[in-house]
Amino acid sequence: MNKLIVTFTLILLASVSVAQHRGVQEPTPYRFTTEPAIGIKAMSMDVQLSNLLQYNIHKKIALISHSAISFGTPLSKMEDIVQNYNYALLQKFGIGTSLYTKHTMNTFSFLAGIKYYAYSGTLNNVHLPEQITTKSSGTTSDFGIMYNLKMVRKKYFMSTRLYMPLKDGLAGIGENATIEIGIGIKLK
Amino acid sequence: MKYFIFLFVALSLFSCKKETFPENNALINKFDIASVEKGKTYSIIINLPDNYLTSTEYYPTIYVLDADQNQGLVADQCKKISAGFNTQNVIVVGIGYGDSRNIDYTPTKTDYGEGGSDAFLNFIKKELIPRIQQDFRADTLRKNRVILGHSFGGLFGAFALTKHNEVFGNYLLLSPSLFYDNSVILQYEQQSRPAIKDNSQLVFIGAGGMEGALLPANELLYQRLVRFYLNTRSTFNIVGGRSHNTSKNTDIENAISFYFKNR
Repeated sequence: MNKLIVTFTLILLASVSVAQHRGVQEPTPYRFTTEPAIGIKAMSMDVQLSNLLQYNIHKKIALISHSAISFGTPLSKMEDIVQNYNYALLQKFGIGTSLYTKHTMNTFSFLAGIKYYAYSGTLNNVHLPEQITTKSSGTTSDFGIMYNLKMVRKKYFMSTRLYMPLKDGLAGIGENATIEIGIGIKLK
Repeated sequence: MKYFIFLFVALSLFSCKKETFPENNALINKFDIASVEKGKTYSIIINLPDNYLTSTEYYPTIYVLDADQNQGLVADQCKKISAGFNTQNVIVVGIGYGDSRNIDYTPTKTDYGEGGSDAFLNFIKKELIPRIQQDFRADTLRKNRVILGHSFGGLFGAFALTKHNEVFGNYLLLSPSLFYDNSVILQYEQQSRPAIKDNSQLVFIGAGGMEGALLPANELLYQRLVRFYLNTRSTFNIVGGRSHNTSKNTDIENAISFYFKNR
C-alpha cells in the first residue's frame, strides 16, 4: 500500500514537472468548477452528499477541495436496533493531475483531511429486560486517491468520481471506497 | 526525460521485496482432522512457542477462528506481547475452514446463517482439544484455554461463553456480530446466567468506533458481565475511527495484550 502511495505521488510530481517545463500550451476547458454529487459506499450502501471544488492552476495541475456528509443506512438484519442517527462529515484537500481526451477531462488526485463520525442506536428487544442506547463519535484522519471523470460540455457537465481511501490498506478500500455521480458547473 | 525517470523509480519500487526472516519450521505444525461431529475435514495449523523444543513446560492454548486470515498475526502478537510482559507464551491453534463460517459460527438458522455452532463447538470440544492435548504439551485446565474470533467468529466465541462455558476460560471477541438473530446470544446469556455467573474468566469485547449498529448489543453484554459476573474480568474496547474490518488488527493486538496482562 505504501508503494502505491509513493508511486501515485511520484507520478503526480512528474506531471507537475512536465507541466511546469512545457508551460500551458492550451487552456483547460474548466479552470474552476464546483461539482455537487450524490454517492454511495460500495460495501455498506451508505449514502453520501458531496461537493468538489477544482481549480486548475495549470492545464494539468489541479487543486481540489472535497466536502461531504454521509448517512449510514440501517441494516435490515439488525432487527432489534433502532438507529437514532448515523452520519459522518468529511473535508479533504488535495492536488491532482488532469489528463484530456477529445470529450473527457480525467483528474487523478491525492486527497487528505479529516472525518468526524457520530452514531447513536437503541437496542430494543422484547426478549430482553433492558433497553440500551449506545453513542459513538470521534474524529479521524482520512486520505486516499480520487479519480474524477468529467464529460466535457459547456457550462454544465457530468462528473463521476471514485474515491479509494488508503489509510487502512485493502480492508479500508473494501469498506470505504465511494462512488459519486453529479453535475459540474463551470465557474471560470 | 524527468517524467520517465520518475516513472522508472516508481515502477522499480514494485520490484523491491520486503526482507523476511526464515521461519523455524520445527515450531509450526499442520495437520488435517476429519470431524465425526461435523462430517467435514478441518485444516489445523499450530504455532509453538520459541522455547517449546527445549523445555518440558505445559502451555496455555489460544484457539483462533478464521485461521486462514488471522493465524500469522495472532502468533506474532503472542510472541511479541508475552515477551514484553516477560511471561510464558502460548500454543496458537488455528482452525481453518472446514465448513462455511456461515454454518459453523452461527448459533441459529436464519437468512444469514445455517446454525451450525453446536456441532462445531462439539468438534472443538470432543475432537480437536483432545487431539491437541495428546500431541502437544497443552495445559488441560479451562483457565488456560482461549478462544479468539472476529465478526461471526466473535459471535461463535460469545456462543461458547454463554452456552458451553466449560470449554474455554478466556474469550477474545472482536467485533462479534451479537445482533445476529434478534440478539439471540443475549437471550442465551440470560438463560445461562445462574449457572455460569460465578465462573472465573476473562472476556475482551472489541469493536471499531464506526461500527454503528453492531455496538449496542456488545455494550449490553459488557454491562451484564460487569453487573452480574463478579469473578469475570472484562473490557469493552473501542478502536476509534475504525470500522468492522479496519479495526480487526488493532483489536487482535489489544485483545492479546488484555489476555497476557490479566490471566
